[in-house]
Amino acid sequence: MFRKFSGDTEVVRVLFELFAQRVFEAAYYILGDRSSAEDVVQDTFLAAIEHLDQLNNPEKVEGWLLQVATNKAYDEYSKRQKLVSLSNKPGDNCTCLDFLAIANRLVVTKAIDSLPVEHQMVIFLKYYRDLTIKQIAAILKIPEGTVKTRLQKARGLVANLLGSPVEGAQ
Amino acid sequence: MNNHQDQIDKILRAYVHRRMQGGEPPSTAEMWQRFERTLRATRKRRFPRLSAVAVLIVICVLGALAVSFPQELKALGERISSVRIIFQGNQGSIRQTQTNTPSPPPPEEPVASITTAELKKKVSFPAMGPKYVPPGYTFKGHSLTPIGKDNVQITSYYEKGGRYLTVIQETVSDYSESQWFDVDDTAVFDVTVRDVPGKLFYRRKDGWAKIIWNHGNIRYEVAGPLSKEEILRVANSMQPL
Repeated sequence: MFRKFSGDTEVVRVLFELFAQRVFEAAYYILGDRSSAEDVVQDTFLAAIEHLDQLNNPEKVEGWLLQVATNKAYDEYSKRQKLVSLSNKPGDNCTCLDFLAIANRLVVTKAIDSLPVEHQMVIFLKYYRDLTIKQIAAILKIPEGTVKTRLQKARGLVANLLGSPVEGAQ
Repeated sequence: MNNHQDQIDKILRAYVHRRMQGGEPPSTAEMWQRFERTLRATRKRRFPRLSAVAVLIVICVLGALAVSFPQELKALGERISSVRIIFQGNQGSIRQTQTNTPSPPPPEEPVASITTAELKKKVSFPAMGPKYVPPGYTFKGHSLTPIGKDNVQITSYYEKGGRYLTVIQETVSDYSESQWFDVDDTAVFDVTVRDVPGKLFYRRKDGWAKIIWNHGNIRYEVAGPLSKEEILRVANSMQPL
């Protein structure tokens, strides 16, 4: 489909307009800083130019870009090892929440942060992009059952914190 | 049960949105302009043969020097415990490193709120708390979080007028954590906390301070809206609970 455009740059421009912001959000979700997320966008679309031949199925383009972006973001993340912004911990400078809310937030954050990369992307697509299980499965090129399992794992963690069981993912 | 599911979804949604705070994407046009520049630079980049030869010579010389003056190797298994500072552009990073230190097993589940008595039963190392907290601060509770399979983090909260002083202690093994901060706004000082070296950050814009240090296989952190002197006093007053 994309080959009907006049040149590679034109093709990438169309992809860029369609997906650059989504790629940015996915990278920001992992890295937590704008400048690095923008670098990931640049690198991802440079990679797209190199692999335009793999992007001939419009339904799989977003998945491909997100996968490349996620890998690049996690490479960057592991280079930095474990980063903690000086001001982003729940409770820092907070004047609006009670102790229990902050403590709960901290515990939830730690628990969800500890999930593997693949789970993180599912959580991001479900709760930030509000996609359905079917859509998430299509983007990440994984079975719907796997999406459900990963969501259940995240919900299970939170349920444990709340002290009660969790139902199947929907 | 549906209410419970809704509550879980609400918590997860809040987590994701919290993580995305400040992450609104720049406009596509803005990103595209930058991308076009990168693309042009990538395409124009031609590596002249002469430069390649020069780089090759430099690599050979450096290689020869490395062979002629080898670095002394340290024995594997030696414990390293350090706090060091790195600056990049307008950001700085403090890295705390710790290796090869066995840690006690953590509790199985995270606990959002726990009393000191319960805490002592659940962790197998002597949990610490500050003997001194600035006037007006009252103890609110601890939270307990397993970190990976082997470690645990205790966070203790002290509150005054809706603002929190937090004390974190965390068992660590093969540990490295960087604290990034804006060097234009945050001053960093070398301090000694309970006879070990540590780093004190002081954020001028809102008078917020944090001290980090390692002691044995425990990483400590005290943070709150306090002066440098007060936060150091709190840190130095840590004692077994």
